[in-house]
Amino acid sequence: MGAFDSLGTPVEVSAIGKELKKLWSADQTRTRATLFNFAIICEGEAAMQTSTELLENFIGSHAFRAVLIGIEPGPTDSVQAWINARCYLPKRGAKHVCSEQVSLYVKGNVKRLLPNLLFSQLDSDLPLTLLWRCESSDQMDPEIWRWVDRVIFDTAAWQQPRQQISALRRQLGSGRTVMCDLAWTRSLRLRQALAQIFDSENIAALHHIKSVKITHAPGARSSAVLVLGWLAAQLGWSAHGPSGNHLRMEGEHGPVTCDLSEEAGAVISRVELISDQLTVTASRISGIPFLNISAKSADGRSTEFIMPADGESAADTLNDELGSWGLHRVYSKALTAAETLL
Amino acid sequence: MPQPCNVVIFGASGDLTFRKLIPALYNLAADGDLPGAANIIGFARRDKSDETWRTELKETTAKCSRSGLSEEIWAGFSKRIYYHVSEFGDAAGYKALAEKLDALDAASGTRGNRLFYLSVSPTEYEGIFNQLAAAGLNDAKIGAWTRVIVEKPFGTDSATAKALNECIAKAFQERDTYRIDHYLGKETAQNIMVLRFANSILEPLWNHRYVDHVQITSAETLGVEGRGPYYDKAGALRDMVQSHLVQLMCLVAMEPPSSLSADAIRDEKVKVVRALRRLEGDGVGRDIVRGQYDEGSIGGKQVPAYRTEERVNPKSETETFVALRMHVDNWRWHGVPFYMRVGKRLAKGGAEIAIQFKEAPGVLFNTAEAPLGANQLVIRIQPDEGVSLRLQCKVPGSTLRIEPVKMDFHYGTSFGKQSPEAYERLILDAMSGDATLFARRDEVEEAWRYVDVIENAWHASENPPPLCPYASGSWGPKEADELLSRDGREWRRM
Repeated sequence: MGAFDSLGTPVEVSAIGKELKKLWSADQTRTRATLFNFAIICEGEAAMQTSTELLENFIGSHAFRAVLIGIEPGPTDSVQAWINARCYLPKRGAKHVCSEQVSLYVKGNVKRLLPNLLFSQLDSDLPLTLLWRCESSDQMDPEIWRWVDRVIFDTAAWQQPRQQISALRRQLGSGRTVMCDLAWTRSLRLRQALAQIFDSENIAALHHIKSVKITHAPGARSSAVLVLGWLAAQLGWSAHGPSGNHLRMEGEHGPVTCDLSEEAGAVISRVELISDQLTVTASRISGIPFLNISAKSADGRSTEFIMPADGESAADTLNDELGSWGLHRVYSKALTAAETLL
Repeated sequence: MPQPCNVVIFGASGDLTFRKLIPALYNLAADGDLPGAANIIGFARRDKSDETWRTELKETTAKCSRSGLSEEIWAGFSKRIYYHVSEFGDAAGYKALAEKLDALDAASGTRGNRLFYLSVSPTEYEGIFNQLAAAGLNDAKIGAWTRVIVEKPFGTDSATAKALNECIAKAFQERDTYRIDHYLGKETAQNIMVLRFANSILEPLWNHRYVDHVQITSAETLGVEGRGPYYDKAGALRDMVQSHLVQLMCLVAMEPPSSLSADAIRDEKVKVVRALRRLEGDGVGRDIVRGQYDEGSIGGKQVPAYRTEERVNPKSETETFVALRMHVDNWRWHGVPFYMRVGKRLAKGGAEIAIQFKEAPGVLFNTAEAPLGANQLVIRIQPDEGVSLRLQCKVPGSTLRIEPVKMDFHYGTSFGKQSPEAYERLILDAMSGDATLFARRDEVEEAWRYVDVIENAWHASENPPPLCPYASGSWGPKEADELLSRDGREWRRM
């Protein structure tokens, strides 16, 4: 099966609008639904295939116009285009609810070609979410960023996350674009579980944490670093000394030692927060959709419970991200605190 | 009701005749709207027979007609098409035309009614009007009517517009003069009045208390496409703003007319143009941005800069893009800016009017931490004619997440019937004697007066505002964005 086989009907770029109209008028049993524009920019033919497979997972949970753009920088310009409708049946006997997908494969001077290709395919007046699946954001014309309401990326997939996040921030400038990092999204339920532990009874212990230990899967260091950044930002810790896997932070009530370690398994398989009064542990076994949470206090009291864990597939994480929205202010703070550690 | 008549098209060899007028007349015939007794006579210089012209027309009608071409319908329709060879200034040609029309009246029952359609360069107008008058073709016979449809441009400034109108007035009365603006023939443009005055929920909101601003956009992806010599003299302001966009603005901003008669409506429209705040001093530089397209890419293809287009002056200072901030100085619209933008080689083609309402108060939901967009009513003129309303809506779920949703109405899918092309409606109206959708002399001259100030500031002042370049395929020069951002606003995303 070719990389482009699943993209739908090949069409001329200039005829995309007309062909989409035909697509919808051909079948009266379908209802078109669009709440936002969802653009995906990826590199190479293989990524087009995986991105299309990723999109398949959201039929029914998010109504968007998908604009999938594969890029291949090179000396000669060429653009291929496809259109497709992705439908699901909300209930028996109902009309199919469908969203449309426009796919473009762009070769050549990508930076010059992209703005027009993207702008011309957006459904008017709807927010634009961009899933950036490329290594470097240098291929993006600054004009595009002005249009993007949310940019979703994955620092875990980048070779040099610190440099790339810095470049992305520079390109976004002071615009309104919300930065959404899938490496952060992957710890959503873990963070929720940790936050729940520190209710009114345990809140005092939170400010006396002396040690943090986080175990992450190979390739998931940025998720772990962002969890650490989250704790640092929320608790007012500042980093001291060299960055690495063993570092020291300065908190309100003294130093906090932080250890990151790598182990095959879940993205973050274990987090320990240790203070004199309380030791909190959140652990997870890969493949099991629950987190085991325990809180052991110095006086011998112990609490254990389970909570839903974060999904492990790329589709689960993206689904969570598309469902969360918000301005991600907590992420911004966590990133600021952890950026040098990435 | 359209009445039997002979339609004489001056400029029978022209592009408009082939691509728009004949397909429009054909579709009227196909839909049964063309009067049974109606003939079409093409008037042009090139020598050809009726049969040759019919064959040429059939080919382009098959391509350009919205309903395609049925051999059966064409067979009947084409029998009513004739070709008349004459120079536009040749008196004998008009005498022969008069004889031909009389003969057709007698043979086909067209009752002496005549509709002249001037689809020629405005430089030919005077000669044609003079010859029509000399041959007595401008005078209606007893019990019949004679009307003339004039294509834009209606002049190039207020002086030439006035001269043209006086020239028309020598041959035809104003009530028989139909200045065509195809934008007004579009279904959605006609729907503006229905939307406003047939829905009681909208009119109370249609004023400065609830409307924050209005945006009118007409965007094309095409360049000058062989119209270089005309366009280089006209520019976007004269070509589009003075006519189409001001007409749309009038429909949005006018007061309710006292009746649906053509003059009652046009009386209200002209009041809007008169109320347009005239730009003085540095007003043109402040409120108007003009741009010219540079090279760029559209649909993945490289396209040239305006100045390198065929038959365009390589040093041309003609604008291919204009953005304007306008004010209608009357009670209803006090303090409400009307932003207009029109341009060629933009990212996406389309024309629309967006009424942006004021934002919800900054309590409860619309907070500084989580600002919501304003409600917006969008009237799409083309393509995909329709109306949409943007509302804020809670996303289902346990958390309070608010997202904008669009309530969308599409003409194309809602009525199960194709909208007629603008020219179909307008030709039919002219045959029926309904001038509502045509511009009146005073509207045209007032619009030119507004535009003249801008043209003078651009071309006759010592320190003209800059011509801002923009990349083809973009949404225009950054200065156009700044025009709105200075007011804390931004152009709508089309």
